[in-house]
Amino acid sequence: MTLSQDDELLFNAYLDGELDPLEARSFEARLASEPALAGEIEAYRLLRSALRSDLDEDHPLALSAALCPVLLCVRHATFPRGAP
Amino acid sequence: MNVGDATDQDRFAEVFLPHLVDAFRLARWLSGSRIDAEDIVQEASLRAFKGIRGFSGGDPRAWTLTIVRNTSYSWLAKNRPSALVLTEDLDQVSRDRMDQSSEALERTPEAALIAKVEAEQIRKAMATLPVPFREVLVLREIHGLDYRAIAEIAELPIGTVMSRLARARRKLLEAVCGDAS
Repeated sequence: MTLSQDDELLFNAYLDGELDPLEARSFEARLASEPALAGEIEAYRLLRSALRSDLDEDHPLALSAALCPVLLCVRHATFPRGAP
Repeated sequence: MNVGDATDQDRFAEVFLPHLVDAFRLARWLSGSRIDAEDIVQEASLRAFKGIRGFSGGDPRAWTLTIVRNTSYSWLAKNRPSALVLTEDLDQVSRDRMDQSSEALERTPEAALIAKVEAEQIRKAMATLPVPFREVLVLREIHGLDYRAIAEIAELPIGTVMSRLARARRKLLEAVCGDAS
């Protein structure tokens, strides 16, 4: 579906929990009467969970191994004092 | 090593280190590569360490992400300058493409398509987004920041955060559905 620019910003603010309670209630009333809009919200929520589920490989253990050189470097830091 | 260094290390350990995973995620999404992200986070860690005395007691996570974001941009500017190009012309092309595909989307149950989407498709679709769009999306969806925090980290007005976020989502949905259909 194609949303007007204002509607799209409203839609996104709703998705992000950025509307005040009154605005959110009024947007929910629209969702109840516009199934296409409700379907769109669902699509974006799925997209969000797909994005978040792609995080498994950022396992902290693997990450700390990758960053060992940094940690060692900081531990033995010899940076000039007052450097930017 | 002297006493001053020890204090800086304590502060660094307190402020920056707890957010390493966040730092790495942001760098990985912005650069599109684990290896590049490791480079970026290493550099950001050193910058953070050197600048730790500049941390004035705000939100340590936001401070960390700001450094990683800025380091990612300078890394991209040096190693992959084309990734940062964001002209209105390019936007117009994307818009035209988007308009065409939104007609296709009307005939396609998006939710059903996305349910089948795999991690690899999401990564590929994210890689098609210009970095300034990807950045706001990652800060919002992966890091869960609100508009105000995103605006501060990305140094943008809130209105720009909102419009970029809306467009980033549309572009991502278009890329994912185009790939899955």
